[in-house]
Amino acid sequence: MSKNLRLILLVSILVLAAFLIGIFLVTFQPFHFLGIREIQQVTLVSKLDRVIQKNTLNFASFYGIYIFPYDFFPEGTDFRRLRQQTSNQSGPLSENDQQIQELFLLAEELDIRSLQTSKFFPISVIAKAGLDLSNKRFVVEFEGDRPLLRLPPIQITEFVVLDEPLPGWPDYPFSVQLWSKTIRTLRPHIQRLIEQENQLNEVARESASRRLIALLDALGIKNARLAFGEP
Amino acid sequence: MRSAVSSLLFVFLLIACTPGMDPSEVQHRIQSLFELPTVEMVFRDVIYHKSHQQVFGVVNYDFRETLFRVSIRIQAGFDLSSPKFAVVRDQQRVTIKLPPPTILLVDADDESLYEYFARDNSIGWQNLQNAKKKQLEQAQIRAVQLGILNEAKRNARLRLAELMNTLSIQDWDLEIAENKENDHP
Repeated sequence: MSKNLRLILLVSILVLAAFLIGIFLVTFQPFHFLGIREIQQVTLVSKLDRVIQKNTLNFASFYGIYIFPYDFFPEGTDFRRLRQQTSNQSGPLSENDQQIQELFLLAEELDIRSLQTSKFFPISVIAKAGLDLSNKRFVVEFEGDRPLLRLPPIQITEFVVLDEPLPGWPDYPFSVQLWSKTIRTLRPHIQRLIEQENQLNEVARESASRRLIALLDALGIKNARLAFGEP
Repeated sequence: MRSAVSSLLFVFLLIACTPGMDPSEVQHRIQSLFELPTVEMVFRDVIYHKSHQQVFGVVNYDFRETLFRVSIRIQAGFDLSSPKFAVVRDQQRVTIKLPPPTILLVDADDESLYEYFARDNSIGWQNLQNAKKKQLEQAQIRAVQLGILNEAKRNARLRLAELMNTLSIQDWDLEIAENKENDHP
């Protein structure tokens, strides 16, 4: 047997042995005492950091039309009672009552006197939901052999009120100042409604799970579980 | 010492398990990644319907007015069964060719139907369904106007960058076919 052939055989055997040892180590993980789990955690986090370089990941977009007053007051709200409460109010209000009162005062200014009215108008918004990774990034833990990737909560990452008329809707007599005030007042309420309705966040969470699981799969990490943080 | 040994072992493992750069494998990975829609969009749409009948163009009757909302889900992405999808390797450079992005799903959630009010006569179930159908078409047009297809392209580039990073492929390029004007409303 020539010297070269022996060398090739030796290298082949070594590569095969390395491959078999690799499979054995990955499958049975016998060297926990060497800190391999910790290294896996660090390696996985650094891989994710290298692969996902953006600080904000958006997973779903939202386009919504909200109708004032219908979407902003609980069904069956009695405006006469609200008017009495507002004029008789003496002590501090709860956060919820404060919000209702702010909306009620806007409705009064817009000459909307009840929920059973033909006076209403639409406001359209666009929003995006995803992960804000600027402060907190990925934390990897293991549940037995199963990797668990802890992530920040899914949240609204972008929110814009579209200052445009919607065709086909009855016109509402706004002055420029009143329209600006209306938008300014309703903006935080709309954002709160989007969060409460949870539809955008739910779709974003589903989309994020599918995409990140596929990404982890591409990184060779099978059977991982994701845990999104509480908002 | 302990961490040095374990680091060496892990690096050894990584090298042993690092996938190759076979174009068919790259193609397979792209296919599994792009099976998912690249953009998800939720519409909270409100439909205002007002109508009446007329006799001889003078007398109005049968007034109907209603306001209701519906949730619509729109997904956009790439149809990789298209012959325009290809992975081409030229020496060390990998070029990924994708078909134009397209709307993959437009679906209204009937459970989300909510009527704010119905004055005079109800518009009826059939009219409601027709209005909803029309709204689906309009939502699709609106989604395209809001840039859903451009977002699909941006997300595709982002996902490919992530995938190529995982495969340690630095030299790659993406070509996305342009949408024809009549591809979408």
